[in-house]
Amino acid sequence: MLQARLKHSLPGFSLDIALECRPGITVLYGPSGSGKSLTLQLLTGLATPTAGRVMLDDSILFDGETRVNLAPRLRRCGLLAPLFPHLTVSANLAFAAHGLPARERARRMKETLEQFELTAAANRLPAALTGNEPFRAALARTLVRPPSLLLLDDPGRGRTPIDRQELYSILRSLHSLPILLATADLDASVEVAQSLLVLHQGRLLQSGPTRQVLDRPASADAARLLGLHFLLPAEILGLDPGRQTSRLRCLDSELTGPYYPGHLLGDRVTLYLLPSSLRALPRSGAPAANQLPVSLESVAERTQSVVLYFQEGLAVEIPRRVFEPLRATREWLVEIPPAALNIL
Amino acid sequence: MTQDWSPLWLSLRDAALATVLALLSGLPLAWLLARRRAPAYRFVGGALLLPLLLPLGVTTPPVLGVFLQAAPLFILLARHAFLSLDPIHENAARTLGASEWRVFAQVATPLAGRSLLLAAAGVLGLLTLAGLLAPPRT
Repeated sequence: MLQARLKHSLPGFSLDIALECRPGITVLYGPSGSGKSLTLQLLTGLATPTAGRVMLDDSILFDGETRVNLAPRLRRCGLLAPLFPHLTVSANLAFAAHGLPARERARRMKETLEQFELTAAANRLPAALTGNEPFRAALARTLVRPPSLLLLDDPGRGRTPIDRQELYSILRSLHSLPILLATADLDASVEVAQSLLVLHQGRLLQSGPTRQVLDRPASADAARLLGLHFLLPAEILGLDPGRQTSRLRCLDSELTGPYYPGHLLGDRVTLYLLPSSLRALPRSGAPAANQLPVSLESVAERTQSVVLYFQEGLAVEIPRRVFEPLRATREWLVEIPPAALNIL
Repeated sequence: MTQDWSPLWLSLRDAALATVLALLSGLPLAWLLARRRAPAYRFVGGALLLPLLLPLGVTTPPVLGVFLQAAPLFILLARHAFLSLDPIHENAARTLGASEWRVFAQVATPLAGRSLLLAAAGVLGLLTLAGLLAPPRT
């Protein structure tokens, strides 16, 4: 397991994070420029933090106070990188297996080539590999001498697109190894993430089990980055602990929500709504309870459905056959069930 | 009338010997100068420019003199060859457990191979020419 506290200052950018990475896949998510690559460089020792501490299993890789700073080659942190272009696949693997006793080296190389289905490509140069082979070979090279931590910096961002399903099935099969996968594309990696770290401008906004982070963003910034929720400003008009309900004003309408312990009348709060919990109806007459009157701003056409965009970034997906007869309708109602009214 | 080619051979021989020596001694230094940030390396990098200010071919004895001309020139060119490499492969080698010597000898040097050969060829040509143009030895 990896435990790290990293501080690093660059001109115009500072990083200050504490993270943990257990066996399994941890996704380090953040927009570009948030410090993901720097974090990986600091963990591998290719860059030196200004302060902090990095522990991997029982060994200290870095400690700013006692000035321990292990060289990258001693850290056993495998960082996925492209193959050396001047060496064949098997020479690339042999480079990484250097230092193992001869017999074990031969065994590990054979096993690894088989495991990654590279036996036929073993004597080819990287430029002659096709499809997903360059990626599989790079992973094989990183794992031929088993590391204690695997780091991946935005796989699939480079020139050659990779087969994500294959990547994920390989990563899932390495279950005893802690894996830190840095990416700016959350949608593509959320399915394999056991834990999620949300990085923004050199700070971790949130970390925890993936489901928990997605369902309960810790702050408006985190929710915005995760991009899965709608955020609406609201004001608490009433709280009824007896009936476990509350009244809120949002977009000039009143809504009934669940009781929010720890909040006061008049508090300004941010609602976050899961798109799947919302329903859109054409407006006719006065809105009923928990229906917000909204105007249609734009429509995105999908094959089987359409996404309706209203003011404040509110979006609701409805089946195409429901929408077709209502194509001319501009005024709508968005219904929000009380249970869907979460606040940050 | 027969043309006397001996000055060319003499000059070429000295230049070749000096270039090989420069290659062997200068290559690791060129790599360090390209990749290290410590002030000591910057100082060395600056000091290497000094011999280039001397006119070519003035120093004696011949091979040592030519070497003193060849080495700084080759190191500067080789440093640029290393600088133009993306350090991603050298860093990958380090995380794979390679010592700095292996990073230099098995990754950086072969990857910069063509530019390094070109640098050596350039130095050889220049010094051969300089040897020919230098005042005759006594």
